[in-house]
Order: sequence, then structure tokens, then C-alpha cells
Amino acid sequence: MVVKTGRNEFARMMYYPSLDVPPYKPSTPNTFAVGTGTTSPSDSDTALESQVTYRLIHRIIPGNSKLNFQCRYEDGDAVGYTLTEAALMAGGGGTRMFTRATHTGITKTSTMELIYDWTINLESA
Amino acid sequence: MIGRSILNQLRDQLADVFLNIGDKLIDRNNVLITVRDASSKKTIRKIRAKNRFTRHGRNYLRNLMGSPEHIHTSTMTPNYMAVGSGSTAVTDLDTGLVAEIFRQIITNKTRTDTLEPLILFQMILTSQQANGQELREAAIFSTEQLYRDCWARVTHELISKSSSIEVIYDWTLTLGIG
Repeated sequence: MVVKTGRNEFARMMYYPSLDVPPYKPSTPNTFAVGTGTTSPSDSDTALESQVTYRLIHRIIPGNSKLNFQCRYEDGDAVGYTLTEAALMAGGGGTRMFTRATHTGITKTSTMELIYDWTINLESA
Repeated sequence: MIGRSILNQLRDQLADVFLNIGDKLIDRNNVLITVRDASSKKTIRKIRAKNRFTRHGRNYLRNLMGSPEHIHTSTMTPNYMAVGSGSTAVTDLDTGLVAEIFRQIITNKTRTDTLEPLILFQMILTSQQANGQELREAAIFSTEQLYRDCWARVTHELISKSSSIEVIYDWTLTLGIG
């Protein structure tokens, strides 16, 4: 779900050069956080329910009316946790959340690499 | 020599777990056109029209979302509004107006996040502008260049522009979820 804080930030991007709080700079998603929360996403979410760690997004792939973000968790990342939620964030450590999702549990081990592949489709209603 | 990106792609394909997540960001847009008397400022007519955020517009937004450097480049954001006389229905592939008459910088930009995140773009066509023209379409652009950077287009009821009227275009862009 692209939560309200994320939609606000995306809206701000189109607002330049009349940004309301100069020199406010809209953020773009640059980190990918994972956690162990299981509560379904809601529009008012501003953070993961129980964040475990985050990594920088390692690849952004533009498509036609869509944008794909990928993030890799290496062998040694989040070991021992059963990951059930993820979010696209901005800022070190994830201070501004754009999207949040919950998913089936993935128990991360030291011999496992995990790739998150997140696509935001832009549609016109 | 195999490029780094290819190596990265191969590496990703060999990942133990590959989790796909899909999200939707919906652009909901509406245009309110107010025709008012130029001297008394009294409203003569209000026209509501449903515009389309074109594929090009969505791709411009996509570029902003993925590339921070674009955000502080005014040529990459909506800055101009144009009016024209074309009546051809809007399509997703529109790149400009059918018959553009007049273009100017957007007069006002307002943003709110109280209910749904939305932006209001407003252009006022004064009593001195586009007189003698039959207006049937409008669009939002990033730059002054024709047939480029079209974010959204709308067609509407005929407005015969004269020096006795002003036309106000209020263009609302709302970002919602699917």
C-alpha cells in the first residue's frame, strides 16, 4: 500500500518550484526496511510495526507508467528473524515511509539471500 | 567482459528467495472551469470536466519518484497550462493539445494533505488573453515547448472567449490508492 505519507511526498515532487517550506526537499525512496510485524497495512501507517533492519535500494528500474525497486538482503542480514513486513522508506534508517506491505513469513538464515522486488504502478482513474 | 549490471541480474536470479510486491498509485483528476464577468467578477458559468493524466504524465511522475535530481529541475514538473480549440477526445497517448491557442505559466499552485494528498493548479485567462478564440481543450505541461511534456489533458464545453470574460481553470490532482 502506498500510504498517505508516501502519497504526500510524491505529490510534493510535482509541486516544485512552489515548495511550501523552502528549502524543503521532497524525498524519494532510497531504503528498504523489513520487520516482523503482522498487522495489515493501513493508510495512516508511518513506520513498520516492528522494524528489524534496512538496506539501501540497490536497483531502480523504470517501466512504462511504473517503477520497480529492488533490494537484496545478504546471507548475514536479519539472521534468525521471521520477516513478515517490508516498506520503502527514505532517509537513513527509514524516517519517511512511502509504502508498506505484509507477507507470509520468511525465516532468514545465514545461508539465504533474499531479494525484494517492489513495483509501483501508476494509473489514471 | 560481462558488465556489472548483468552480473547483478544473474546474482539476483540465483537468490534463495525472490519476493514480489505490487502497489498501485492512482491519479484522480478533475478540472473546474469558471467563466466570470471581467468587470464584476460575477460567475457566469461553471464547467466540470474529467481530465486524463496521460501516459507521458505518469512517466514524468515515475521519473521524479525514481530520480531525486529531477525534483529540483523545474522543467520536469508541471509549470504551464495551455488552452486550445481541439475537441478530439482525450487519449492516454496524448502528447499535447490538438489545436493549441495560448499557453502561460500556471498562475497558482496549492497543496493540501488534510484528506487525500492533492495539488491544485490554477490558471486565469484574463480579459486580454485568447480573445476571439473558441476554447474546447486544456492541458498541463512542464515547459513552453509544443507537443512535449504533456502531463494531463481535458476537453470541455465550448467557451467563446471575449474581452468581457475571464476563464479560471482549477485543475485538481489527487494521488490515491487502488
